[in-house]
Amino acid sequence: MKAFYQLNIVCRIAFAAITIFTVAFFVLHLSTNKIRINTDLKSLSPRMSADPQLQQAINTLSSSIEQRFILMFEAEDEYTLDTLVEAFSSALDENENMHVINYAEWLTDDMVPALRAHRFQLLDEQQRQHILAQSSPSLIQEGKQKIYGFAGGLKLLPVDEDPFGFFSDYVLNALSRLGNEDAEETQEIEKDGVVFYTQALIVKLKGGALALDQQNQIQKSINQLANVLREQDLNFNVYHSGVFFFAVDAASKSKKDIGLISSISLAGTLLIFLLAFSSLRPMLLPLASIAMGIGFAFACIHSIFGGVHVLTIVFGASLIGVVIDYSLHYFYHQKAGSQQTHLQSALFLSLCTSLIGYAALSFSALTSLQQVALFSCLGLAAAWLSVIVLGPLIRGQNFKVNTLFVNFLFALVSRPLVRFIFPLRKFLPAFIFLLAALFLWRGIETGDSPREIFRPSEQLLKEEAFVSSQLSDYEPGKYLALSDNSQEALLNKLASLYEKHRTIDFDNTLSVLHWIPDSAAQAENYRALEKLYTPAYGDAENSDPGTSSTVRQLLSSLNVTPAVISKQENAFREASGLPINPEVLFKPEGSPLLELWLNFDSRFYTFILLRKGSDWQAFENIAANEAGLTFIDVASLSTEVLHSQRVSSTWLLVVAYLLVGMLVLFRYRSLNSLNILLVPICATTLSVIVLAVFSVPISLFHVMAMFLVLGLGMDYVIFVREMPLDSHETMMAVVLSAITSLLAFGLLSISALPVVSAFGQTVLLGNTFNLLGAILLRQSLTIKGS
Amino acid sequence: MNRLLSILTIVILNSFFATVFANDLSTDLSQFLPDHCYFSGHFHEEKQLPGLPQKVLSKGKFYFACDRGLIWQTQSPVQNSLLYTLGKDHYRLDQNNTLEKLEGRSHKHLAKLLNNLMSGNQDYLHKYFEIIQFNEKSHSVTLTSRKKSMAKFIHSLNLTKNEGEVTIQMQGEKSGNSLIRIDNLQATEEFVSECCRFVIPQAALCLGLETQTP
Repeated sequence: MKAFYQLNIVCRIAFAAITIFTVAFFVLHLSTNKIRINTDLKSLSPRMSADPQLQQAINTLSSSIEQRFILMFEAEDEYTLDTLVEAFSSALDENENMHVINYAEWLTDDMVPALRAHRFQLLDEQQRQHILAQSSPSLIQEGKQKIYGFAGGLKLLPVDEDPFGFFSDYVLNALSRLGNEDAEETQEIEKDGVVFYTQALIVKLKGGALALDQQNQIQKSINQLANVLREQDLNFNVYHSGVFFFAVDAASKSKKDIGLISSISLAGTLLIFLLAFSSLRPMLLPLASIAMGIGFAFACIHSIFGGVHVLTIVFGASLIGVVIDYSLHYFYHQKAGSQQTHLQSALFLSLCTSLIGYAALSFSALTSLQQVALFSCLGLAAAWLSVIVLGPLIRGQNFKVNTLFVNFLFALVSRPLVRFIFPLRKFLPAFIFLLAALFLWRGIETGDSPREIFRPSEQLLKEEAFVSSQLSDYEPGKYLALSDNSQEALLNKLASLYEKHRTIDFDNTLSVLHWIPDSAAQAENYRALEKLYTPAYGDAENSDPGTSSTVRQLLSSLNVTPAVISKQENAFREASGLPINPEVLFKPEGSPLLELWLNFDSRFYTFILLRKGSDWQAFENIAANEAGLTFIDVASLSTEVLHSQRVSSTWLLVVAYLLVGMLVLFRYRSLNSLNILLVPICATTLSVIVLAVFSVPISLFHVMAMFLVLGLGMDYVIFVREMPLDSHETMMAVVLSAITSLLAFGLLSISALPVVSAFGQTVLLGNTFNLLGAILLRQSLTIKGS
Repeated sequence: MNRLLSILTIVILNSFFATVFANDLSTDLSQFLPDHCYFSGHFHEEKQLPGLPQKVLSKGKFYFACDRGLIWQTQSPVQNSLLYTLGKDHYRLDQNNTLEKLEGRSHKHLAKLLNNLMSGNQDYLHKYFEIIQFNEKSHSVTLTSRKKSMAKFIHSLNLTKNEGEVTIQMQGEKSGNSLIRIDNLQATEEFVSECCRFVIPQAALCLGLETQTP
C-alpha cells in the first residue's frame, strides 16, 4: 500500500512536470509563431549508403536538387512569354525564401572573380591544341579579330588580363554544359499545328526544406500571380517541375488528412460517448488525456528535432483512438468500484504492450517513422499518466452508463460469433495458420517501391515530363559518386575515370572537371600559355627586344603600356602551380550549380551527373568494377532498402511477440497464459490473408502497422484476463475502445498518402479481428470460470 | 554576357536605322525605321574596351535584305563578316574565307532581333522599347528597353543626325562607351545580288544567304 502511495506521488510529480513543460512550450512557441511543421520527403527516403560520410554527401546533393524548382511558361506569342517571365521573375525575387537563378549575373559577379587568378590554368583541350598548333602571328591576328570584329569585343575580363579571350570562351563553354542552360532561351514548339513559345525560370530556395506555411505561401503567390496575369487577358500555361512541388502536394494531402481524420475521429468519439454515457461530461478525462498525450509528444518532438514532420502528426491524430482506451477502462471499472489494484495493473500492462508495439517502429531506417515511434510512445505515456493522476479527481462523479447502447453493440457482434465460431475455437488458430500457409505457398504479393511511400499526382508527373522534354537536363536520381582523401587526388581520379571508361562520355555528363581541370591538365594548360607569355616563344627576329612575347606584341599593338604588360606577365609567372579549390564554384548563394564537390572531415566527395536517358546498366557495371566509385540509383536503392526493411521488420515483429510473451509469462507465471497471445497473432495473420485476397501488396508500412495490432490486441486481452470479476464491464469498455480505435485507423486507411493508407488498412483489419478474438477469449474464460 | 552583346547591338542598329531613314523626327515611330527592304552602307566604330587605354577603331560595310538577312563586314584593321540569316543557322567568314557556323545563343538572339529591327517591325519596337524623343532641333532620339533584364545592360543611347552622317553614342554600365558613325547609305527597291557582292565578293555566299527562308 505504501509502494502504491509512493507511486502515485511520483506520477503526480511527473504529470505536473510534463504539464508545465507542455504549457510553457506552447505559450512560448505560439506567441512567437515558431511552430515548425516539416514536409520534406527526404525523411521518408531510406539511407542510400552504409558509409555515413557518403550518405552525408548524397544528402547534401539531394538537398541541393530539392532546393530548386522550375516554372516553365508556355504562350502563343513571344511578347506574352517575355511579360510572364519578367513578372514572375520580379515577384519570386522579392520573396525572401528564394531567388531566381540568373546565369549571366552569377557568371560575372561570382564565377569570374573566383576563377580570375587561375585563368592561366584554364583551357579546354581544343584551346590548348589550338595554341600549340598556331604560330605567334596567327594567334595575334586571331586576338585582333576578337577585339575589333563585330560581336567580338565583349569579354568577361578586361582585354589586358585576357587578351586572346581564351578565359572568356572557356567559362562560357563551361556554362553551356550546365544542363538547364536552355532555360533562359525561348523555345518554339508545335502542338496540334499551333506554334507555342516556352521559356523557363529556375528558382533556388534559400536554406533547407521549407516549413509548411512557407511552402504554402510560395505556392499561393505563384497561383495568385498567374491569376492576376490571366485577368489581364494573357493566355498562357505554367508547368511546374521539381521536388518542391511534390513536397507541397504531399503536404497538402497530409494537411487534408489531418483535418479529416482528427475532426471525424473526434466527432465520432464524442458521439459514441454521448450514446454510451448520455452526457459529454465523461469526455473531460479522455479529452484531457488526449490533449496532454498529443501536446506533450508534439512539444518533445519539436524540441528534439527542431520541428515535427507532417506524417508524425497524421499518425499522431490516430493516437486518439488508442489513448481513449485508458479513460474508458477507468470509467467502467471505477463504476464497478472494485479491483483497483487489478485496474492499475491492467492499465500499466496495457501501456507496456502498446509501448513495445510502437517502440518497434523506431527500428525503421526511415527518420520519419522513428519520429512517429517516439511521438507515439511519449504520447501514450503522457496520456496514461493523465488518466492515472486526473482519474481519481472525477471518482466521486456518478456517470450514468447507457447500457442499452453498448449492450446492443456487444450483442450485435458477440451473438453470431459465440454461436457459430466459438464452438470451433479449438480449431480456429490451426485453420487460420493453415490458410496463411496456403497463401504463403501460393506467394503473397509484396510492394517495396518508393511509390508505396508517396504517390504523386498524375498532373504533376505530366508537367514534370513536359518540362524535362523541353530542357536538356541531367537525371536527378541517378549519378556516380567518387571519393578520395585529398582534393588533388580526387580531381585526378575523376580525370582518369573519364580517360579509362569511354562510356562515361564527357559531353553527356557533368562533373567538376567541366570547370576545373585535373592537376596534370592544369599544368599542361599553363605550359601551353607559356608560349604566349614567354619571350622565348616570340618571333624574336622580327620583334624589338623586350616586346617579343606574343601577349606583349598583341597588347603593344593596342597601345597598352609596357608597365601593364609586364604586370600581366608577372601575374602569369606567379600563377605557376597555384591550386584551384573546386569549392569556389559552389559556395556563392546564387550558384546555379548543384553541390558536386564536398568535403567531410578531410574526405572529399564528388559526383558525376548523367544525362537523362543514358545507359544506366553500363554505369552500374563500371561502378561495380571500380574501387571508390558508386553508382547511385535512388529509386532502385530505395526499393532495395525498403525490401530489406520489410524483411527485418517482419523478424522484429516476431521479436516483439517474444518480448510481449515474456512480459505475459512474467506477469502470470503460467505457460497457459501465453494463449492470450493467439488473439493478436491470429488477428495479424487474418489481416495478411484479407490483404492478399484483395491483392494489396504488403509493404513495410503494413508490417509496421502489425506492431500496433499486437499492442492493441494485447490491450484488450489483458483487460479481459486481468478483470475476470468485471468481465461484462471489461467487454463494454473493450467494445467502446475498439470502436473508437477502428474509427481513427479506419479513417487513416482512406488517406491519400499510400504510407498512411497502408497503416490504416492493416490496423483496421487487425483490430477488428482483435475485438472478435477478445470476445471469444472472454467467452472461453467465462465458461472456464463457471 | 551574351544577352549584353545582343542588346547592345540591337540598340545600336535600331537607332542607326531609325535615324538614317527618318526624314522627319516625330513621335511616329515609322519615321525612324527603314522604309526600304534592301539597303547597304559604311560604318566606322569607336569602342572603349575595359583594359585598353585607347579606343578601338574599326570600319567596314553592311548589307541588309529584309527577306534574307544581314551581312556585317568588318574590313579594317581586321577582316571578317557575320551572316545573320532569317533562319536558324548563322555564319562567320574569316579573312581566310573560311565559313564557320556560329554557335551559342548570343548569335541566335542577335540575328533574330537585328532582323526584326532592320525590317522595321514597329510592333516589335513598341513592345520591347520605350522611345523617348528629345531635342528635335538636333534631330536626336533616345531608346530605352522596357524589359528589366535588358535595362541592366543599357544605360543610355544618344543618336545625332548630322548632314550625311549619323552618330550613335552609347553608354553601358559594363561594356564601356561606343560610338558608331554611318554614311554612304544606298537603298534599292529589290534584291540585287550585286549589292550583296559589294559586301562579300564571294557570290556563293550571297547565294547561300538567298537560299534562307525568310
